Amino acid sequence: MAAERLGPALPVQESAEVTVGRPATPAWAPTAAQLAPALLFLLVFLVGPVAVFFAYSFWTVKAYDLVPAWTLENYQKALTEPIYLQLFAQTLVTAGLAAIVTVVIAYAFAHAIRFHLRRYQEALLLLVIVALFSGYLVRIYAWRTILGDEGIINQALISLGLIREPLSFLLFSRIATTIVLVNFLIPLAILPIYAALQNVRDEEIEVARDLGATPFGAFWRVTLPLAWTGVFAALGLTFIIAAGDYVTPQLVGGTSGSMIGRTIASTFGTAFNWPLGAALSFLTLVFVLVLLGLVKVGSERVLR
Amino acid sequence: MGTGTGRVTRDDPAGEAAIAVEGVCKRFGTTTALDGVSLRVEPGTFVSLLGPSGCGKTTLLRIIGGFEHADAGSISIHGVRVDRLPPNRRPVNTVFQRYALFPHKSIFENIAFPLALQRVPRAEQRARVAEMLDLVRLPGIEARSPAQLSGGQAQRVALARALIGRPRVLLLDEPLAALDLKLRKAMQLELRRIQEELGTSFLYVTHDQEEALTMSDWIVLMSEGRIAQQGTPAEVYERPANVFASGFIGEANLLPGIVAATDGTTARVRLADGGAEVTAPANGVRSDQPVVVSVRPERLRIGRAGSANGAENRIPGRLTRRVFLGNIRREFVAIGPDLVLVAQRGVDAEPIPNGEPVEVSWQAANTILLPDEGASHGG
Amino acid sequence: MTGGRSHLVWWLLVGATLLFLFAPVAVVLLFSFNAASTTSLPFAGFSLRWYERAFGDHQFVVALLNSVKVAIVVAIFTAVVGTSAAFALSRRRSRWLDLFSSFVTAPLILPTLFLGIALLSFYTQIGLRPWLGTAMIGHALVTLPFVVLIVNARLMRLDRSIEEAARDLGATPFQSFRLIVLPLVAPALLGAILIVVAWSFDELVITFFTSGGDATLPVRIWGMLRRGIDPSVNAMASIILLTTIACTLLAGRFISGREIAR
Ligand SMILES: Nc1ncnc2c1ncn2[C@@H]1O[C@H](COP(=O)(O)OP(=O)(O)OP(=O)(O)O)[C@@H](O)[C@H]1O
Ligand SMILES: [Mg+2]
Repeated sequence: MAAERLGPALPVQESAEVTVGRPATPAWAPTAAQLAPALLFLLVFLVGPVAVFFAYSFWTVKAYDLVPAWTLENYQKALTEPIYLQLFAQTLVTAGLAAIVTVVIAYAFAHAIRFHLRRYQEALLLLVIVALFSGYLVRIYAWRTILGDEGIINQALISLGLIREPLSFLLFSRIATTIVLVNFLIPLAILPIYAALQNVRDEEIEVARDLGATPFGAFWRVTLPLAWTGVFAALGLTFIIAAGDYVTPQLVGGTSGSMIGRTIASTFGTAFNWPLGAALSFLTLVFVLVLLGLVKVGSERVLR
Repeated sequence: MGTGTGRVTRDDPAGEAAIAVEGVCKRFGTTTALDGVSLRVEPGTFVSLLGPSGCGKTTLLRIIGGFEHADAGSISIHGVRVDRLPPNRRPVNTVFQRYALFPHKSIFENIAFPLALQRVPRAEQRARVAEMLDLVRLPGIEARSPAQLSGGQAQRVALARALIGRPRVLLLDEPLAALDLKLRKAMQLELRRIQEELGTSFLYVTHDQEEALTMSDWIVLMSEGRIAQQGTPAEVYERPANVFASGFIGEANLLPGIVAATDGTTARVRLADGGAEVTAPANGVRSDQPVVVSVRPERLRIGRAGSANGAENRIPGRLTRRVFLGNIRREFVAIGPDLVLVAQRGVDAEPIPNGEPVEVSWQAANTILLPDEGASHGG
Repeated sequence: MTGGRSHLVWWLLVGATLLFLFAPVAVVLLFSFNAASTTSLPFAGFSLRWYERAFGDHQFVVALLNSVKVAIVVAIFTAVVGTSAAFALSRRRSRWLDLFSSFVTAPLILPTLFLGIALLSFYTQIGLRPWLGTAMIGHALVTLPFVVLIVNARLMRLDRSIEEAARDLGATPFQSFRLIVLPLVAPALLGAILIVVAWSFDELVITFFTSGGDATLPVRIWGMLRRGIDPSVNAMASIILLTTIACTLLAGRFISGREIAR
């Protein structure tokens, strides 16, 4: 038998005596090398700009020149002058409204394709992605053609005899700003919600229904809590992006639909007050994050 | 330290092993996957690495193949230290559990891959691929794509691909695990045939003890990152070195007890449950030592109480249940309040009704005493 | 059965949402072919005059070429740097790598206005004069996560042992990458690149603040919008739309919507 060729088993040696043949390069070296370009790029062009921008918020402008004064003046101005306070409030209300409307519509859409129109979900999702990447500026200005006094909606209503004078509140108003924000935010919100709903298994809902939950009860007690991380991500993302937008208020907002982004942009343009613009930017982010934090804490209570 | 790769260190005085693993340790975070493993694969043999799930078999194979690095210890292949060599420079090839065929390449391109890397002329590639496909009995499928193969065919192609570079050592990690039982049996024979035909050394990972017993020249039994026992299939089956080996390889009745008396060659053991006494070869046990008595089911005989048959050990019991397994019959005999022995008999043996008092008997020579590791820390 | 009717309700909901999403796109495309010189109903007949007018505008042609340049450079840069990072992320699990993932995706969740003016401040501070190249950096910042996430998702689905088999059979790390891994992730990478191009072609805000005087297509349109309505804007906008829609639909052939949705 072949076994006769075998030698005796080696005695088991003390492992400590035989020392290590580590590879010449450590195991993480290739990972570090692969990561290095992206990391370096982000450190220079993301961390760098945010740091400089933050520093600027403590500077001042004298005679059209940036002066590193290291002062809280800009923040003080932003938080005391009524015009900025009103703009902050208007921004948070409009962006918050837009985010909530967006998330409700996006949830309904994602829910529909995830649970009811499953056979078409790939195609419908692709349409959403097409919508996501098809036109930001183009989309916003198109709404002028739709909502304006001479626009499609007013013309249609007039030719149907429903109104005589065009509805002028449709454009250059908070309604216009909200509609347009919702319009380009919806695809952005659908994706994380859809991803979260994918992780909700059918059995989990079926079990709830089986145990006597109504469809709404199953949604409220089972589906929504399970999908909440995705829904909250969508809410946060759309809120931040809406609050920081300036093209929408600029093109369709008029005065009543104005937002802080427009003011910030102007401090970097004609108004030339970058430090104030920086302070306003960081304050906007802080307000948004605080509000989102409150929503998170509150929602965790409710959806327990 | 720090000398280049490929340094030759001969450290196997017993002759050049195909694979020599010494004192290999590997930790993943807090789990210790391998804890001082040493083993040798002699050239041209089929060695099985056997053990329960999670005992470190795959880890050891991956360390030999070069996909993981050991925390301590050394690996030599045909006398050459390979610890620092990347997988592509080690003279071993691996057959992976899930085939790992390249899905975007044809069967020909898959098998010829190592040759193409070495820029072997196209004509020779074609000849050698055909030769390999003959060897694995799949001639003429060069043009197909991996998606068009069944599991068994894919595994044969993976084998052909691993063998085409004529490695002296082949590592196989549960290559048959994904196949159904019938195909697995056929492939076991195929693998053994191919191994013998080529004279390649095989290190074969499996957690199927039957597979290991039928295929191998040598079995290395692992448990929790250590080697529990190694030897020929007959050795590990007939003379398990510890309770683990006895329970894992084949089936065994394991009866805890205390050594009542020993004269150095034979010992008498009092069973903990039921108090019956058993005679067995001493196997180095001391008086009063807690031990486990191990007897294979097929060594047990069952007869009506008092029937004489010259066996030293006889215990009265009661037949409780029987199960038919093809041409054998498995009988369960209660010999104590909580103790049931399993015996194996041919189907044509005298049928005894359930509930009957019987006598279980076996020869002292077929009894193995093992130190009871649960009771006192030995071994 | 109620199943059929509730199905209809869901279709109505989905249909209404899609109508809302695509209405502005349809309006711009339609009016770009309208013969009348006002962008209002009724439709005055099919005409290509606005496209002719657009291509007759020298600044438009320059902007279009700039957009193409930016998209190409950004696509190449993010493809190389992003694929490399995706590799690192797919190889091992660690808290540091999770942290890196959040770091890479951070630009996606910041408003582009914030990024644009932060970059402008940075360039000013280090004395870099804004031009097309500095705008490319901003584009790369936002599009890098697309490549990293999409390619990483594909790599995670790839059986590790395929790569190990290649190494085992004698391939060097580079050979196993070029011959085995790259062909297998190429579709995902291509899809990601198309998404990058679509995004870059459409980007306004970062470009506006960081490209100095060099206009891309959206920046050019933005400038025209501020000077009053010229229907050739619709033709220019349609060129953006057709490009991005074509890119995204094509990307959908290489990657599934679910991969983008993560
Ligand atoms: N990459 C890894 N990271 C962390 N732990 C690991 C890793 N690989 C293996 N382990 C752990 O090391 C131990 C040994 O694993 P290994 O895969 O070698 O077992 P095995 O004997 O091959 O088991 P099986 O029969 O299930 O394949 C297990 O506890 C496993 O969880
Ligand atoms: Mg394993």
